[in-house]
Amino acid sequence: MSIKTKPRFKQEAQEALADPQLQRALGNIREGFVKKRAQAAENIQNFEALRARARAVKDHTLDHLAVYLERFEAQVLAQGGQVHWCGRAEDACETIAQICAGAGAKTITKGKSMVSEEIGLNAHLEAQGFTLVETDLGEYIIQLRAETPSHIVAPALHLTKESVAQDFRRHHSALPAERSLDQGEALVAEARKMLREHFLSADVGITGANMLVAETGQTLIVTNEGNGDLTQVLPRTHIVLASIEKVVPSPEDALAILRVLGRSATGQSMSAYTTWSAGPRQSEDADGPEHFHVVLLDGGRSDLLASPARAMLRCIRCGACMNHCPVYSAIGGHAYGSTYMGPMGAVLSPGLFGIDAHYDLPQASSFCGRCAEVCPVQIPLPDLMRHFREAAFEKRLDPKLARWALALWAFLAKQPWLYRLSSRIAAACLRVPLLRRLPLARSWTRHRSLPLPEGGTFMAQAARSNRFPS
Amino acid sequence: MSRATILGKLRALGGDPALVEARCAAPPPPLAAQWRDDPEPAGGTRSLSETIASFRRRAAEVQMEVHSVAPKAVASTIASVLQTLNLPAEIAVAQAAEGDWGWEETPLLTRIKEGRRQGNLTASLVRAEAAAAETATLLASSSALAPTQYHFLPQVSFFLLDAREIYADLEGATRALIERRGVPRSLNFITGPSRTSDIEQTLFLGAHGPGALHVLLLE
Repeated sequence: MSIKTKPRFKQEAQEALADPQLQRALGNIREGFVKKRAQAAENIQNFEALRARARAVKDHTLDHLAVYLERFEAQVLAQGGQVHWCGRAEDACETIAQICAGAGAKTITKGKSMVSEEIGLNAHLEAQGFTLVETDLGEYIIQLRAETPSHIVAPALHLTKESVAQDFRRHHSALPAERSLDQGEALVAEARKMLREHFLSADVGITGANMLVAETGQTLIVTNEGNGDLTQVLPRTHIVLASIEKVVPSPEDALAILRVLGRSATGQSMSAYTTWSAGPRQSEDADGPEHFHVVLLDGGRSDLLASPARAMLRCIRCGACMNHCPVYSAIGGHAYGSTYMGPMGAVLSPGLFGIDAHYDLPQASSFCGRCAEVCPVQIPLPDLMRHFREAAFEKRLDPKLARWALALWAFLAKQPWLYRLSSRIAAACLRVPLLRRLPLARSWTRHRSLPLPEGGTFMAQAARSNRFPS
Repeated sequence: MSRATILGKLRALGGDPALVEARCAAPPPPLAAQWRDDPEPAGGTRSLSETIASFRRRAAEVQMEVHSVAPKAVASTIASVLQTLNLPAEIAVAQAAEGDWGWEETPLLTRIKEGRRQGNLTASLVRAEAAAAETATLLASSSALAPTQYHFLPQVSFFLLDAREIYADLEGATRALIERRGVPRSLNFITGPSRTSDIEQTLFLGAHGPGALHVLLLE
């Protein structure tokens, strides 16, 4: 859901750092996602070539987006499906609600979809009286907790198994209270049992799409659990919710993306299930939905495509950037206060929802560059964050103190003699023990000592040795 | 904002149907993943036995068991796997996977009738129409004879696979299937049993789909 009020990123981040349970859960990232991705990339000889290919597919498609979307639509229609074009989040929510009402739906199962989080679909459908069940295990857990995903691939990444067990006991109150939920296996088995009934009884299944294939009219989802797949095969109506940049030209192009998607996300060469759906059940089919709808969302993407940050639309939502981000690893996803978190969120959130609402997300980066190094479609994330930092500065969204400090530095930098003088003074001050705690940077100096300068300033040393110091 | 508005905005940003047509006519050649542990093919191009060996290596990595079976031993192999897993000796067989698999010689294994929405399915036998050695991925599509739910509902699923249908890469397998039967309404790529790592990034098999997957390879 796009956050309309200004999120309190700084405060949220501080609370996250002080939350021991969250910190324990975040500790799993390094041994999990990071190690597995590194191994997956190492196992094959041509991972860099595969990244370049995936990027080329996305670049080409974005250059001809209208052409490919029209081709995709024509195929879906020819196969007996329907396509709905929605400009804004509200339009997509209302379109889906109308399809559900038209299908006479009571119960709706749902596969994992970040676009549905972006548009606030669950709240909209529940307000209209539909019973909606998330079927991805992580999404199911956070639905029980009335939370939003803290990670785009692993939505319940912020939780430990103890807290999941507590949630299951609270919500599955019909089950025997004395059952053991100490082991992860027991939690998975219980979720399987609870959700199986929903799969079988649902009237409508809603999934997202990792890709839309223009040549064949196929929509494609990637899952490991098989939940999204049961969501689209069992109910009478299948609704696919996808944003417009998900289209690719051909099945081969989809495969080029899949080769880097699983490896970058979870270190898998392929996820357990990739399901390609094209239109409703044909008369001879043994099963499948009778009605097939694709809801296409713009949601600010055509504007983003026209902006200098258009490379962000290459994103395939693998989550590698956040897994490798020192800021995300320290504070988790909720502190970002947006559907999209981590480095990709620091660009996509201001890109789609405006810099005013998400001024501080592009600031939440040390610019270490790991995100761009691991991005499977080579998005220059630090450059794009810098673009939005500049946009924030232009719109005077940054705090007064930061602007004054920047103005002071700019003034000094424009007067070389004054700059040299003040850096000499600053270097001298650093030798005074009392000044090693800076009044304006207390939270920084609480954990770190400022370095003692060795010798004079850079300029002084250069002048003395008549060459640059080694 | 409607279809016309969205497409109008996108068209104004560029895009050329002629260039799209040119790329469709001459698409870039497939670029498969080259595994470090795949040996160089003996005669320059990979033989079928080398492709099968590669398929087996990848299958082992995704907890997928591959049994080389003679046609008449399919039923007995299924029976022994079910016994090992301590599951009842019954299996739902998709019509597309019917065959002379030695059912008579394995009388204790019951074949149960297909039905829609079988929530309590223990085991299913379906046919993989193609496979890719690159990632040990099985391809199975929907039809009158092959219910898609058989891929996801049972506790354990068995896939019949003709060794000649194993292609080196994903593109080969996908195109072969589409050329044979057109674009299927539903096409499943299956690479190992159902799994989840949503709880503390620990791997558990059998999240919503089958917790075990056995390939019965007919060579």
